[in-house]
Amino acid sequence: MLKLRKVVMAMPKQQPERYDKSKKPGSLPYIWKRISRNPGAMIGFSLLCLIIILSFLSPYIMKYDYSAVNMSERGATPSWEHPFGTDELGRDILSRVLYGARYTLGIGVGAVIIAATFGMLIGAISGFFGGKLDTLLMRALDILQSFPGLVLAIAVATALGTGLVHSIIAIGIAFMPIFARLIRANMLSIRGSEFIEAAVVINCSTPRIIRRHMIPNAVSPLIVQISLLIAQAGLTASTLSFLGLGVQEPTPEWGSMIASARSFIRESPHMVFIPGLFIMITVLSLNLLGDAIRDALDPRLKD
Amino acid sequence: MDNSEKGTGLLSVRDLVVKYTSGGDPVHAVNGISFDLAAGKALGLVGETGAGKTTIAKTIMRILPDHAVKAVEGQVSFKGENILQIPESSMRKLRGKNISMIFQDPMTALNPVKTVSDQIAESIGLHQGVNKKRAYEKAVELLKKVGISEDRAKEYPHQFSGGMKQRVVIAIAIACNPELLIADEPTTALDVTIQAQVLELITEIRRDLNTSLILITHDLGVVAEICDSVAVVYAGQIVESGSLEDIFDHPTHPYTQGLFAAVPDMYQDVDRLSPIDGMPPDPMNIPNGCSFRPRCSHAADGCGEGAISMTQVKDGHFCRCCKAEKLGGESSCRL
Repeated sequence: MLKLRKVVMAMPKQQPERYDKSKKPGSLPYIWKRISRNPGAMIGFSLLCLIIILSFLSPYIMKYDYSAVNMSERGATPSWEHPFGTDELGRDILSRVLYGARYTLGIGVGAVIIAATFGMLIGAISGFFGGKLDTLLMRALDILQSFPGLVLAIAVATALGTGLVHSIIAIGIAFMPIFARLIRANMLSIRGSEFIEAAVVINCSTPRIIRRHMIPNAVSPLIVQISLLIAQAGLTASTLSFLGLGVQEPTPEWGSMIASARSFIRESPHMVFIPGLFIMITVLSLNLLGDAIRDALDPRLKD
Repeated sequence: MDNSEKGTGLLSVRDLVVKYTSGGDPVHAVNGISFDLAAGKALGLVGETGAGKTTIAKTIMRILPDHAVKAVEGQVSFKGENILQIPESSMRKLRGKNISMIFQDPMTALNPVKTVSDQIAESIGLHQGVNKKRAYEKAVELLKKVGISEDRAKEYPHQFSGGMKQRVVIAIAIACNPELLIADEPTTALDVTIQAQVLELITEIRRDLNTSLILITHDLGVVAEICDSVAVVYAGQIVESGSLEDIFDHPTHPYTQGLFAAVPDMYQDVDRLSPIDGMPPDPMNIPNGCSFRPRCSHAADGCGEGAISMTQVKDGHFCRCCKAEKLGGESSCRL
């Protein structure tokens, strides 16, 4: 008996079982684990990282400057000297395409940030207060949404004028209703929750309830939408430049590169093909990643 | 309690009427409720679903949804001040500090994306104006008081069990040492063992802080456990009120008697319990006279005429029934 007691006493104090963070749905390690199991998402993620890194390194590692004109080598086909050939002014397409990634992605991210910020604000106010204000704001957004996103972006870009910042604003406005609706729908369902009533009971002010209790609960579907819409916004940015309403020459934005090369499509198709390929790779990568994030955040989809 | 003396207690509710709108017709949720609560005492509001218990609680907190409420009449005096009349800014000083509330379902009463200590600290920060670090320390103290260790303070509600969540909800409610605590079915969503623990915790807190309590429930066992007095609510009216002993040992109103008849007796072998036949009246269309008349086995012609007033059965024991004198009797129920 005595011996047994000694054994018991000698046993180390039982440590409370540590929680394995990667098993908790919604935690970052868990999301990462699920994304990393999706081969498509990993390909997309790697390609995106590669493009972003190369874009920032390109001024230092590239042999040719993206704006260096060499009239003697106009429209050269791909070679060892110019792996993707040169454009109508003899500029190295590889340098231009890599440098230009920052514009397409930058406009995409910038526009989505603007759309998400203002959309969230409008949606939160609309969903929380309801009533006439809600009707007014939602009908205004209906009007915005009755135009296809691209047409609206073109209209705004025409009104504001061309340029990088204007493109971001134009696409941001065009995409804003999507976020506003998403947040509003969530706010409506959260508004009736008991924990909101509980927040009222401990005397939270209305702005505090919206900011601290409702928005944090309403944003998770937004994260998915953000990752998917960056691709769309990037594509729209290229379309605007292609139409001459976005970023202007000589900035090597992919859409504007295609636009200026399209008159040479018969003689030198690579001038159109290469930037187009990069647009496709980027949009595809973002979509693959966005889909994987959506699946990872959806608690109903178990492995 | 139309004919009782004016209460000098902490809370005094007089002729409270609450009407909701639903489409066109008004919904009579609360029809002339009056009761008193002295400091440090516990009152149980007992009644069926839809009897208006939660509406009473929300009226006292003044958190009824504006768009649904058609009219609130009567008086709710807290420490001698009619809180239905004071401006919202003064009400906000009371809410959460002097009067606070425990919710029915701990699963939904906590914000899922904030840590429990944050949620407790929020209430402290809002009312006591202390800095974040001090509020956190106080939150941890409160967690310890309700039996949750410090190393779980930074966890999220979904990492807690139902009973622990209710402890957190209680910790939030008592964060500012309220004088009046309204518990809206605090144990309904919990299983029986956890119920007992939570009730014990509420009793303990009341003893330590001398908090008054309004306990809303349909569980007579819970009432017997912690209340000093009981008010039985039916169709938005108090049909019987009195001390715990009055109601449990001498239920007088047929409805109260029916409630006790529907409770299983520990000491008797009964095959079937006897329910109260029928359904509570539609709050959009409450019958004239006694609202319990359609379900009452003692109903007579006189019951349908005019409003029935409270009759004093015994000192402090009131019953809203024309036949109160004849019906008073010993209960066979032992909880």
